[in-house]
Amino acid sequence: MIADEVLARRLQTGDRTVIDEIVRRYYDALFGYLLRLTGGRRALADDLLQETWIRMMRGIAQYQYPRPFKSWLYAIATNQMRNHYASAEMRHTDTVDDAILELPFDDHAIDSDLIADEDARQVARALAALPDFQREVIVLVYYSDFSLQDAADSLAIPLGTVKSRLSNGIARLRSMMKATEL
Amino acid sequence: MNDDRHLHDDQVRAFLSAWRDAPTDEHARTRLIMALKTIPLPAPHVQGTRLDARARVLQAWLILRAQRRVVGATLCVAMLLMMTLGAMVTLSLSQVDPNRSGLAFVLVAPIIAAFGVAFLYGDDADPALELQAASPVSPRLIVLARLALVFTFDLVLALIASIFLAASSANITLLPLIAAWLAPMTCLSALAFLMSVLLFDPLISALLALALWAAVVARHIAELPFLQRLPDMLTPEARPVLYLIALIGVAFGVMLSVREDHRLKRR
Repeated sequence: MIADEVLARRLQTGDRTVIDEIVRRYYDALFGYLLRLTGGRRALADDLLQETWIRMMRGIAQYQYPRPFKSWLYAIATNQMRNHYASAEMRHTDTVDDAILELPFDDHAIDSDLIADEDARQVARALAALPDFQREVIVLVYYSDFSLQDAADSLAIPLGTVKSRLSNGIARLRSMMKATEL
Repeated sequence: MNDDRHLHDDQVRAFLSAWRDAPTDEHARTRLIMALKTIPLPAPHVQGTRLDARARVLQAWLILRAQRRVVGATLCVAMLLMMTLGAMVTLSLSQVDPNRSGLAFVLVAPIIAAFGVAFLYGDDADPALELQAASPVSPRLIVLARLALVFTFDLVLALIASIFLAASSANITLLPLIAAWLAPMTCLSALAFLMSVLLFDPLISALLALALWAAVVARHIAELPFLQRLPDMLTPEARPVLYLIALIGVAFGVMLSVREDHRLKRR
């Protein structure tokens, strides 16, 4: 199988035939990543996903071969999500935490197939209750199969910071899990 | 034992796995791929690699061609007329005062070039500067391309005028004449460029260059005592100093213009 980085390099040089393969490899995974970061809001995740791919195309010249393409691509997605919530409108209307915590069970914004069962809904609530910086690390490591170093590269933070965010995030999740059991 | 083991908690993993991966819309993916294929790809950055010689020549040519509009027709015609006028005056004076034949052209050519250069950078000179700042070509290259274009145009004009003068008057010798105006022209053009970058106002830059040149000319031809304390910049001994000043001026100007372009990009 051709490495992601080679495909990205070919795209940089103008070979558009690799677009199908790059999208095929990462479309579902990126959607899952954005869906979890946005607390299960499918429409928003879809919008951010489209924007991420468009940004990837427009910014492909900035990709530095042979650095990991996956980390670079997820960094674009993370930035899209951050920019969305950092916009003035969003600051004054809602945040991902508020959105997920306040959603009623029958809310159409949450994909019914995904969070129909109570266990999944609890996970969504628990993730939404975390600070953004802990949620990003946990989703990257636990759902997107990033190594700690790759997560550090993608988020442009030191490895030690990834470890501390992950450790603190896990501790918070565990305490929420215990509270749910009680 | 792995120090990071506590970071991969199985219970947490099991808890999180309850939120399974989401099914995606196949049609949306197909539409996205089609849309992505229509997006123009930016020029690749060539970090760590070198363009081959042909590509470098082609790139230089494309940049120069794109910057031609800066040397607009009006500016070209104005410089051509002034240079022609300067040559005519020089030719007339060389008949009157054979000892100072060619001096008029040595005094005129540098200020014409400086005027041209002063108008190549700034808001008034280039309304599309902000658009230019977003281009994938380095701002340093763009500024240098403009400087090269204007200066080369003036250089060619001055060379043609010098050949014409040398051919028309027995009192004028070609090479000494070129040597006499080349150093001041290079220096004054570089200073005009630096001032246009510093002040971002072509007109003021041109006027300052004119004032500076007027002082140099006055020092050379007038007998005023207070001017005699200043060094004579039109002697052959001063030429290396003039080239050095020109080099420093261009380097400093390019550095400042790159900072300015980066500032525009951050807006």
